[in-house]
Amino acid sequence: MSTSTEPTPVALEVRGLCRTFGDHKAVDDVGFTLPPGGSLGIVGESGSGKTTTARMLVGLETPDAGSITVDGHERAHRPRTRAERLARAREIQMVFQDPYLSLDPRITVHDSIDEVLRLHAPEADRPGRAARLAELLDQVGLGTREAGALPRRLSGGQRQRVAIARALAASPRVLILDEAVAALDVSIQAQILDLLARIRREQGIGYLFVSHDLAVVRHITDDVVVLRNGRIVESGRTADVLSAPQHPYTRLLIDSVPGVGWDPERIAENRRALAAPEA
Amino acid sequence: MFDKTTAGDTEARPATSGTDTAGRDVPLLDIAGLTLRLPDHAAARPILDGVDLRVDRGETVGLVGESGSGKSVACRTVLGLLPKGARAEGTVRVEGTDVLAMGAAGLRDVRRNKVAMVFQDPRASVNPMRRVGDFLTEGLRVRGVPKEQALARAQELLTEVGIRDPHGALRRFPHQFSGGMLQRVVIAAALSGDPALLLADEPTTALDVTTQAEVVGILRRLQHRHGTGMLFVTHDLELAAAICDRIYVMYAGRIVESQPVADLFARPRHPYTAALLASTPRLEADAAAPQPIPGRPVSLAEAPPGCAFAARCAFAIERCRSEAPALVSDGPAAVACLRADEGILQ
Amino acid sequence: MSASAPASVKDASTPTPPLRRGAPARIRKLAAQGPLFTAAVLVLVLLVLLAVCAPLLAPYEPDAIDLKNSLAGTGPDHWLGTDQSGRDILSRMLYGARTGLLGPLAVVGVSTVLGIAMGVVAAWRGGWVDSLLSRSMDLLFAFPAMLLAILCVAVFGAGLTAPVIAMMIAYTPYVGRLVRSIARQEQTRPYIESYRVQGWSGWSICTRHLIPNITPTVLAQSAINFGYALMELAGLSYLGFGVQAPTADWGVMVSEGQNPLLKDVMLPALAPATAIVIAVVAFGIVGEGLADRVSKRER
Repeated sequence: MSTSTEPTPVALEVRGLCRTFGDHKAVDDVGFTLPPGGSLGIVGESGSGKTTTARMLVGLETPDAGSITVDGHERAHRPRTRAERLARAREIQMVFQDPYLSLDPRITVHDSIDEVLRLHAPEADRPGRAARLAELLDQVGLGTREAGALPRRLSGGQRQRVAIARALAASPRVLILDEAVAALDVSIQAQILDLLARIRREQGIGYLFVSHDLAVVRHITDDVVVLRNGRIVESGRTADVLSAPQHPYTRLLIDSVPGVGWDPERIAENRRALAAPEA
Repeated sequence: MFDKTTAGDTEARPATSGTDTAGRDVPLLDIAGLTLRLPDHAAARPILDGVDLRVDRGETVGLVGESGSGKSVACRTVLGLLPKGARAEGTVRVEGTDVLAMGAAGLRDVRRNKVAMVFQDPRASVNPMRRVGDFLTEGLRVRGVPKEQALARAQELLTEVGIRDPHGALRRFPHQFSGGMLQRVVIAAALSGDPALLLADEPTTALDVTTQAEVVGILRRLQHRHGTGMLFVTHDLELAAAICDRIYVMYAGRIVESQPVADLFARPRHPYTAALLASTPRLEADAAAPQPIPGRPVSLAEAPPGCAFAARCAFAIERCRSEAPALVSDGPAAVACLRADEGILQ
Repeated sequence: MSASAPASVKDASTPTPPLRRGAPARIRKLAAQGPLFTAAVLVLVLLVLLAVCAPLLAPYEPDAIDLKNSLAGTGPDHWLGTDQSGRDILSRMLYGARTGLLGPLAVVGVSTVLGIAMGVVAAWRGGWVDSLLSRSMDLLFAFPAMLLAILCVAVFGAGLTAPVIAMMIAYTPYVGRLVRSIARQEQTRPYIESYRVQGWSGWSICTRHLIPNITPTVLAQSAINFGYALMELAGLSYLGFGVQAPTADWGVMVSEGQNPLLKDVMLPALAPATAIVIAVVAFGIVGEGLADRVSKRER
């Protein structure tokens, strides 16, 4: 999917992304594309480089090499002006993993969304902003009661809804969800997945879904990239990769998901076999 | 009310303290009518409400629930660890002796010789300033094992949990191990005293998926070899299904259902269990999309008069909101739902 | 439960506690910190009130000399007796509270503001800016506060101003270092990072989010610093480097009370000394209490 040269529309294109910490290659020649309104899963375990990749995309880390383009605009270097900074923010937004740490504890739900609207649409007047805010809250299933609340009065699921609404407030082309449902209880996780699927359907926003959880990735993404030790080991349509994995590591990941016929001993064996040639 | 009309499977329980470890039919762990209350201003409902649970020798029992269900709290009471300011009712018997009624010496004996625990975060349960060898041998040394013998035993344990170069590992510090490796060390330490019961509180939640499989494999193998009973606390129904013989499902401080694993998955009897199963994303190609459960779990500040799940339950009727269902046994299963016999889940 | 009905997956509207709290609730919350904390707060409030209202409350002029009444004992005319020059001790104590609190207030106020600025800039910018600021703070650390104060007195002359300026300089690196370390930690939190992703400038993130969130921790430390500053300034006055003799000041009063002490008259020295101890302890307890509250809030 990343090598096709046909004029298929591309929202996000990443090529040859590299990042080294000390002598550790965290991300090594990672590339992929995301069509407008598409959903791409980035799957890996801790140390796979998936989070570093996500952080480079939103500008929290600077890549050593490679290019990141959104609608053809390059964004690998640091923004220089305020206008550039804001334009960047409207390209990619992110929802973080921990709903308990990703909201300013002093700022109410209403204000934390409203300040994004003020920043990105300063021309809008007060009633205009209020209408947009109500729309955003409604989209993520929060009521006026929650709007007036401080984050600590909200449950994990509610906070994650706030984080999503806040990210959507900048009307980004691409939304990065960095383990965005990993910290939630399953029953709540399903609510948020449901919500995300609906938002994508209605708004045509592209998702980059960073996760360790293959089962979740299967339900929320069209395409998937499997990362291991900073490198892509396999990529393709999510359904194909999960039903007929080509790389032994992908197979190991799939086998590791607990379920019927789960055999930890065999998984351990495969894992050792996979690690052996590198050690 | 609920804790007095307890389920039938506890009827075999010895009447009072008279029976000691002599009786073979004394369960390894027998929790009966356990209710934990925080001081009134801290919580509107009990954190645990009439919990009945038993683990037999060599058996693996899952305790499954979402955050705030009370599963970890229940697990900790077995070691006599109660939340600050909590008042307990009911009994927690380990090999027939009530932990809640024990003095400091009795608790020490239980913790040292009978029950061991593995926590979620291995980093938090190991002293980072001490070598792994010291960590592993301190339990043995306290029991009077000479130093040489303790070190030999520690090496043996490390080999058992699959650590290469166990001799070298003894001299290393916790930060030199990955999370998965350190959790193996913790498991080795937990098994060093040959406990009859192992409490595992989300032991693999902080680990990667492939590491999780390995650690669970080790836990299971050792448990079989030593005949240890295990109470496996987790939020992950699928994981519990993969390793447990029986599962208890908790919601808002109560046991809502317990069944042998195969039956629980094939025929969940409580709407919450069914909803939990339906909300879990599945990997299989033909699996349906996860179905959300509306609403959110009951917080400690809320005390609904009826069934705690009624507000989120698709099958709730008026009676469910006013009358708390008792846990009713039916053969190997038990369920706390007023409509359990109506076939609503079929 | 169907996917197309968002309203049904909305979190149930369960009774959450009221969202805004009034003043009584705040006071109750403050009292929940423990009786010691409450008592310390009350002591400090009383102290400030006494200092502010000194002109209204003091029965005499603080400097009114009445040699006939030298070293009078406690009585209806002079509740705390008089000193060697026959000045009313109670009146001098009340006026002394003003200089006693004003000096530390200036020290703590300025050092807190400067320290926050230096610490946040060092943490946020990192790199050479951080090195430069950290090294200069280290340099300031090398000077003991007392020494700096005496040096300042030598340059500017005795009085309240010189030691206060010296201690502003000496206290700033303490605050700066604390702020730098907590700001470094705080800025890696996802909520700060999410503001960066939203496109805010470093200035607005720091002033609107970072600083307000670390301020409670800093204020707890400042309350403790206040006690120290009060003690050190009183010490300087006692030594004769600070507030000068005729002015009513607790440090000066202790110093002047030494002679009567030799004649077995305790109050001229004991009263101001007790006041210093009470104030320092109260500030310490309040500071600890505030720090406790901050750590409790973090989960």
